[in-house]
Parts: sequence; structure tokens; C-alpha cells
Amino acid sequence: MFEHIIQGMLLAMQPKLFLITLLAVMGGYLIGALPGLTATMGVAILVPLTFNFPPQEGLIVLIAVFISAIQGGSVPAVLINTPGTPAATATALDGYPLATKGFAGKAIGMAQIASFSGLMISWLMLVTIAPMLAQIALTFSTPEYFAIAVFGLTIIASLSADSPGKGIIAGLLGLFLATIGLDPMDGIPRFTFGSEWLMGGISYVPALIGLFALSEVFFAGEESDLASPAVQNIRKVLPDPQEIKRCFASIIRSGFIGTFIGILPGAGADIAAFVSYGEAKRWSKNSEKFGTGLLEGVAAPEAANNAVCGGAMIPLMTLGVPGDAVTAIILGALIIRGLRPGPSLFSDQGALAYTLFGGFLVASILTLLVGLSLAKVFARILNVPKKYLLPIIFSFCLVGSYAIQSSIFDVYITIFFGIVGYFMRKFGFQGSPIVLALILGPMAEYNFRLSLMSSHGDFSIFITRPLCLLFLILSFFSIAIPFWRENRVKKGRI
Amino acid sequence: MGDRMVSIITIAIGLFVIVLTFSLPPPAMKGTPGPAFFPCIAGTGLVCCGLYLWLKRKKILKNGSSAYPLQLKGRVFKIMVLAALSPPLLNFFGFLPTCFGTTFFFLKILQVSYFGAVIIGLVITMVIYLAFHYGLQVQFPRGIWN
Repeated sequence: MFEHIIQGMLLAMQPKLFLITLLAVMGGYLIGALPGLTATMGVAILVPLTFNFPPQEGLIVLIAVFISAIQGGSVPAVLINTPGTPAATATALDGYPLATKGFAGKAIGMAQIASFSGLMISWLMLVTIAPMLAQIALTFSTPEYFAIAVFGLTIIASLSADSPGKGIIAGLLGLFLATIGLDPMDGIPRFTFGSEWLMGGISYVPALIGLFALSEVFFAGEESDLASPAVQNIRKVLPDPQEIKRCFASIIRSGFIGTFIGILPGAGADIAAFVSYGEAKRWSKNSEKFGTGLLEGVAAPEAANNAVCGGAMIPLMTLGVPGDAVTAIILGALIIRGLRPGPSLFSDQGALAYTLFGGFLVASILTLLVGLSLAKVFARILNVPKKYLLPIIFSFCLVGSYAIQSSIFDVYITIFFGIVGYFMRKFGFQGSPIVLALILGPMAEYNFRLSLMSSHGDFSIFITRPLCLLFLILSFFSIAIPFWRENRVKKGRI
Repeated sequence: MGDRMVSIITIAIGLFVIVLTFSLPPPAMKGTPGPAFFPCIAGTGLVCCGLYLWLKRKKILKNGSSAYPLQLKGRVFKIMVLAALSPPLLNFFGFLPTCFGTTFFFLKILQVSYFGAVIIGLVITMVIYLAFHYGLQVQFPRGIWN
């Protein structure tokens, strides 16, 4: 295994791939540093741009943007008390008070170091656990793939934790939209209304660009003040060695918390950041000072939110189940290239899998270096008013969706989902369940029908296979727990 | 009001989907699900969830309702119209005029000065054209200039 990992690292450090990774890291950091642009949006916009790259380059770009965008979110969180990404919300609790005391640079520096440490912990877990899980997954057949797809679909309820019912409605809508086009078994057209365009179905890449990126543009257009906030200058961007040493235990603990939360489908970087912040406060000797400007209060959430990146890749690469919204997009990017994540990725495309591991490591190191050296530059970019950024994002969304298949229909899909996504958010819905259902719905349907064909209509095939039954039971709990929590919150017990 | 509208729309979409599945053929192999199975599940699920939302809303109204701020601001409406017009304009006028035009009007909607909108529109158009056409080899429509 170690020789595969080293081979993967060497492949990832080839000059062309290294340069592409560096550019992706800088772009992702910028996306994360600009409030209103999320890691999800950045990865969604970049998916069509990576189609012309070879698979490993395209996927490493997406992973690099994912990692660096999460890390970049700490910059505005510290400087202007506005997290660049939702994952940096907890960072602002102590980061901004530190900035008001004149220690903005130190806070940002600690955020970079803690993020890198969290990434390293999750990378180590990724390279050790993923191949072992993939070996187990080699025994999977169509019933297990159906159960995994159902399990992945049930994270829809978790993704809409505030209203699981609305998450399920969005998921069911996505499930219906996934059936538009040719039937996968019989080849007959479904819900195409005679349209040639609809014969090919609803492509999920334009849909996710619309839902995650274009709808954000519409939302941002509502803001009355599109000018830039005032940003202070940063001086020194490194904490003292003693300060790093004091936060060491907190960083390690948060790294493991973030990795574990990343593995759980539906739980994202923002949850990991708050959980680790709470734990850091609980274990600290100065817990009463949290919220007033403690470096530990910056280190803990930043280590955790970046550790989620590696954790979320574990179920993605071994089972084909995304750990969060961004890995759902990466899953879509893998599938559209004809690569099925799961055990076959390690057996048939082992070089690609280990190159992705190597690329993850290289991107992590580059993100640390970029963060420490260019934090001052990125802070200045916060001065660019939103009214100039929005048209750029708008144009990239429409052009990006056209570029996928040089099809005007994809642009229509993006606009449709952009408008639908805007109104869905107005009514309290999230866009992630639709995209997940668009990606996993066909997998669930195909494997379900094939399983029943092979068992001659006998449904017991799904309960007599232990792993299939296990995933179905997990699916039940995955759906039930968010409703149970919602009920408890309403009764005031949480 | 918001949840009531959502539940009605959800039930309507669910019923629409179920009705559409009646036009799909039966399964090729007896005893196995056919092409109508999953759409029917989606439609039935939507109807059930719509009813759940309707009943939940009634319970909330008893305790004190929360209204959704469903006001579409004029600026957002203009941006949506601009987006919706982009594809037919792209087909008719081609990429360069459409990209410049939509960017220019977007900037004007956001109250950028005429001079600023022209310059930024030109820069964005050229950067996107160079990146996608020459960098990524994407062939854009040329419209009436073809």
C-alpha cells in the first residue's frame, strides 16, 4: 500500500499536475475568502471546466478547490466577522475578537496551521481506511448497491436538518426528475412529451450549477448593500511556537472529530466546527475566555472543518455514498466520466485512486503555503464590491453549463434550476436533496429492478443478504432520527 | 400561507406524476417492477409529504404561525428575466454580443455606471471567450454571424 501511495504522490507532483493543483488551490482559497461564495458553489462551477482535463487532473482540481475554499473561509471570518463559507462560522466567534485586539494576522495564521493539521489527520485516516473498506465492498452485488443508494438518498433528511419533511419532498422531486428520459432497463421514453432534448434526461451538472451557484446570484441580488466592507490591514501572519504548542491537543482532538463527522453522510464541515469548538471549550482550562479572543477558539473549529474534507472522501471513494454536498458534486463528476466510486475504483482504477490521495496531500500542503503567504492579498480582495463579482459568477454559470455538452438545453436546465432553487430556499427547502436524488436515483432504480429480475420477483433478496439488510436498517435510522430530533426540539427537550 | 402553497403544489405535482405513470407500459417481465414503479413511488411520496405538510401547518397555525417573506424584489425579477432571455439570444446573436449584452445589463441592474458597465462587460466577455474557446476548445454558437 505504501508504494502505491508514494507512486500516487509522485504522479500528483508532475509539473503540469502540480501547476494545475496550485492554480486550483489559489482559486479555491479566493472562492472561500469571498463571503457569499461557498465551497459547494465553487466546485459546482468548476465541474464543467474540468471535463477537458484527464480524469485525475480534473478530480484533483475539484478536491483542491474543496480543501482550499474551506480554509479560505477563515479570512473574512476573522477580519470582518463574516464567514466566507458556513464552515467558518465557529471561527468568527474568537477570530473576530482577536482581530479587534489587533491580532488578526495571528488568528489567520493559526487558522491555516490548524486547518493543515486537520487535513493531515483526515488524510492518514483516508489512506488507511479507504482501501480496507473497498475490499469489503468487493463482495457487493446489485442488492447491496441498491441499499447503498437508498442509504445515500436518506441523507436527504439529514441535509435538511431544520425540516426533514421538506428535505424528503425535495428528494422525491429529484427522484421524479431522475426518471425523465429513457428507461434504463426497457429503453422506452418516460415523461419526454415528444421532446428530443428530454430523451437524454436531466443532466445533473447543469442542475447543480443552477441550484448551488445561480440561485445564490439571485439571492445576492436581493441585498440592498452590494458595496464592500472595511477591511483592516494584516501584519504578522504566524503565531508564536508556544501558542501553537498550547493549542496542539485541541487541534489533534478536533482533527479526529472532524474526520469522523465527515464520514457520516449528511453531517458537514459546519457541524464539525461547532462540535469541536464545544469540545475545545469543555476541555480548556480557560473555558470562560472562549468568545473573547482565544487562539484555541480559532484552532479547534478550523482543524475540524478541514478534517471533514478527508472524512467525507472515505464513504465517497469506497461505497459511492457522498459524505456531504461537495462530495455529492464530486460523485457526479466521477460518474459523468464513467468512473464508478466504490470497490471497483480501487481494483480497476487503483492508480487513479492513489493519485487522488497524492493530489489530496499535495493540495493540503499547497493550501497551507498559499494561506500563509497570500493571506494579506486575499484580505485586500475582500474590498471588491459584490456588484462587480455577481455578473462574473452569473456569466460563468451560464457559459459553464453550455460548455459541458455544447448544448443550449443545458443552459435552460441551469436557469430553470436556478429559479427553482431560489424559490425553494424562499420556502425553506435546500437544493442538495434534489441533486443527490438526480445522482443516486438512477442507481437505486437500476439495481432494484435488476435484483428483482435476478430473484424472479422475490423481495427477500434484500433481507437475506446481511450487508444489504444492514444498509437498509441504517437508512431507516437515517430517515427517522432527523424527524425524532425535530419532534424533540419542538417539545423543548433539546 | 407559504406552507399552504407548498403543500398544495407538492400534492398537485404528486398527482400529476401519478397520472402520467398510467401512460407507461407494464413491465416486460411479470412480477418485476416496470418503468412506472419508481415514478409512482415518487408521485405517491410527494402526495403523502404534501398532506403531511398541510396537517403540520394546521398544527403550527394553532400555536402561532410563521409567515414566509415571499416578496420577489424587482431587481431579482430583472436578473431572472435576463437569465431566461440569455439562451434564445445566444442562439440568435451568437456568443460575444450576448455575453457582453447580458453582463452589461446585469451591471446596470446593479446600478453600475454606464462607463464601468461597458468596460467590465468587455473585459468579462473577452476573458471568458479566451478561457473557454481557446483554453478549453469550446465551440460557441455564432448565431446570425454564421
